[in-house]
Amino acid sequence: MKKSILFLMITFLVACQNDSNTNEMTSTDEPVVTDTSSSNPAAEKVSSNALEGMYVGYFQSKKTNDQENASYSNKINIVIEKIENKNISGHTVVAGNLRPFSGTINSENYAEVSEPGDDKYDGEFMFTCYPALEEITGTWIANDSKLAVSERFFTLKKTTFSYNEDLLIAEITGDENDDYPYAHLTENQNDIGLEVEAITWDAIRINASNKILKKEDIENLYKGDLEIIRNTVYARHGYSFKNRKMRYFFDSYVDWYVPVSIDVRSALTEIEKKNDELLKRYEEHAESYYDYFGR
Amino acid sequence: MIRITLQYIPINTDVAFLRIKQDFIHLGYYRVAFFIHAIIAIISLAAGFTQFSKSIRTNYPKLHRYLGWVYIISVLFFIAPSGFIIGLFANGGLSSQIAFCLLAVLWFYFTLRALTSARKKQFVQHRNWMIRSFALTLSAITLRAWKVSLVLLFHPKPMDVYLIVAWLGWVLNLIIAEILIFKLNSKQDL
Repeated sequence: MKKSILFLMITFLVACQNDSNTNEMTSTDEPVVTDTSSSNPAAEKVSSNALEGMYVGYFQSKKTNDQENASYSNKINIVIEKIENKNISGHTVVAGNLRPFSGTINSENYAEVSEPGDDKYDGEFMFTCYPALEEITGTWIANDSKLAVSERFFTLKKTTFSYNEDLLIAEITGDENDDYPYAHLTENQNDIGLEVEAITWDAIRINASNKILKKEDIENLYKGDLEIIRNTVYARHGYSFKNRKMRYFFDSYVDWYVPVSIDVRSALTEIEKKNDELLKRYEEHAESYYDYFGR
Repeated sequence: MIRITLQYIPINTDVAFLRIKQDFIHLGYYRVAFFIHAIIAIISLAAGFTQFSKSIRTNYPKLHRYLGWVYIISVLFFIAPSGFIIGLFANGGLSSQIAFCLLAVLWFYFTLRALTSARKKQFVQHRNWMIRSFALTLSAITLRAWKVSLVLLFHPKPMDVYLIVAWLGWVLNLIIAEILIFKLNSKQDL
């Protein structure tokens, strides 16, 4: 109850059209879509087979059973690792879950692949690759037809991922006197009914990846901002969020965000580890004391 | 208040308030001062409340004197000095540091005067100094009450609210105490 008084609740509409996704992806910031061929050995394979690579976009619900728990739209990364003869294999990263897949692809670039089947959320993908558009589009059907969302569709754009410590969650373009910069982050509005704590310009301005933060930098920040600042570090490393609130935030509002990994702990730099610890301490402090009768 | 105190027992330096104090928690005297302050504070608060009861003062004057010593000793020897030390490291910079240190100094002074006036059997003065002293004791509660109210009403930034309540938490109490003393004095003059 307290929380609902304190925090601005913002509800958004799921953007259901395919073309809005396409716009979303083409507007991806330049620095992210850098060519990693010099450092990434996988890039050589890309040149040997134009279909291989990372495809990123929204994984949207087509058939739902449980309106309450459904996650209607998540950012998904389908990585096609290898195409040999008619066999195709790779993995997907979505909602904090990394799953391998394998199957077949025909001469029309239509693929049918399945996940191992030992995870609750495993299923089968059917998609077509359009190398000229650098896109794949298709559907997914869960093995378990009783899942909250048992069928999904997607159109994904070929993307590359590289870590950049200077990325901010958005360009600061709006009026900094506005308390809540949501409106400036994106025009997409969704209605999945998630409560998102208000974030302020501090969450956008403060970068915990490229410099050591001092306590003066963060002691006057709201908990929601601290949380976003800390999680933006993970997002820069391509962390696929299990936490629904964070996933929703980065999926919806951060164009450069690409989920590539389900554990980024070892990837954090020394600066980031230090800041992470400091931010967590202040988050806990805010959680325990901000709106309670205690010090 | 008891809950706030209990979170530090058994002595635990990893509670959230102290977690943001990691810069100087390693200072032995800060740690000692902090735990003295947090744990003994509850004694002065409880002892103080009983001292204003007319029936205890008239029917059990010994109890009044006994609890008076508990209050005076806990404030003069433990809570006010430790409060001063913690105040030196207060969150929120110079303004809140001054606020908390000044609070500790005034609290010590009022309580000391309450003791000396009682020893001299100047009971009107004793009452007045005790009202002032206990007004500051109550800042332990009012500071937190203000904080909760301000947060609920205005949702200010955490350190802003701390800066405000560092002053508001006790200055207002003292003003009310002075008004109360003024009223009691003028009633007596009549």
